[in-house]
Amino acid sequence: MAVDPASAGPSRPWSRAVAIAVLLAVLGGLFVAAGIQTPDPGLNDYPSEDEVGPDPGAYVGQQVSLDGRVLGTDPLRIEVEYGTGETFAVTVTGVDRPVSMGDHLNAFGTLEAEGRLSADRVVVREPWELWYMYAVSFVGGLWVLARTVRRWRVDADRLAVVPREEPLRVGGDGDA
Amino acid sequence: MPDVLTHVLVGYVVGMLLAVRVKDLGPEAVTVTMAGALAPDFVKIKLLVPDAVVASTLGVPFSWAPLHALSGVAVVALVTALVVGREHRRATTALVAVGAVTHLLLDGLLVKPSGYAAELFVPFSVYRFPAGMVYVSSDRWPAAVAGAAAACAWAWRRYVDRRTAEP
Repeated sequence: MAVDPASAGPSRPWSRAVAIAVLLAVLGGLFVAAGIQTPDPGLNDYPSEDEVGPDPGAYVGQQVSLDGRVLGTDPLRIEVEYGTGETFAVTVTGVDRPVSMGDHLNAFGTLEAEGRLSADRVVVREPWELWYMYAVSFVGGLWVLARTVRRWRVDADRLAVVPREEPLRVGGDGDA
Repeated sequence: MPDVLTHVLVGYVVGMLLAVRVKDLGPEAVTVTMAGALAPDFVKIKLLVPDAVVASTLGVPFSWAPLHALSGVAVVALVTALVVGREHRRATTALVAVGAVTHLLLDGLLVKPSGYAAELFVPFSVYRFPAGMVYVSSDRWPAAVAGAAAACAWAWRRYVDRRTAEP
């Protein structure tokens, strides 16, 4: 670690700020490096929306993974979003389970033509299932946020986050 | 991901087990473990700001994927360590890392149409392990199971606390 706990003053905010800045720069570098990577089916990583979307013709005959909202069921068509909000429509064949308009379909298979995917396997989700997932996820995030505020505080003298001696109490005495 | 609530509940269980076992770890350590268990889902920022939007704005290739991989988790754990007071640094790094690893393991069990799980090694490799194919992220039962486990951990903690409080 950049800061040796045994040395120097109580908190060394400047050294820590520099170390944090360096780490964030590293994280930025990781984001860019990841952006350069391209899918490699040899490593079990297949092209998906962002690769196929701009140039579907280049992926005909290949295995791809596509994700989208169901536009119609006869034939089964999905609207795939990619890039900065562009969309394209794909007909999906070989789906062995009931699908309704508005469902969310996640399909993996072979792109037989520019707008046709022959699916090997799909995951279908109804709209309410996605809303359930977002809602409970929000609850989970809120719980962590509440616990963090209750159990930790900012020590202004040291410019560091430290545990509270007594948990913050707002109104009642709930503990979780 | 299973839903965030499932991840956080599992973080709670693991944090509680550690806090009961390891002296000096209190409820604040459970919170850190839970935050670590949530951390890889920071990658969901991509739903608000897609990779391609950042890439076209900055003019460089860009992907949020490392946030949900070992590399990003390591950076997040180290940043957390520098934010907390010096005496909490080692425990915090370790607990964030433990929480985040539970997240990545649980996500390895997801059903994926391709049959392969999320990339753990970006940006160093795009390799994907075979997916566990146990649940999808909108299934309800993982949160129910994790909730039951969390209730047991909570009860056990109370039991241990009371026993140690007796003379």
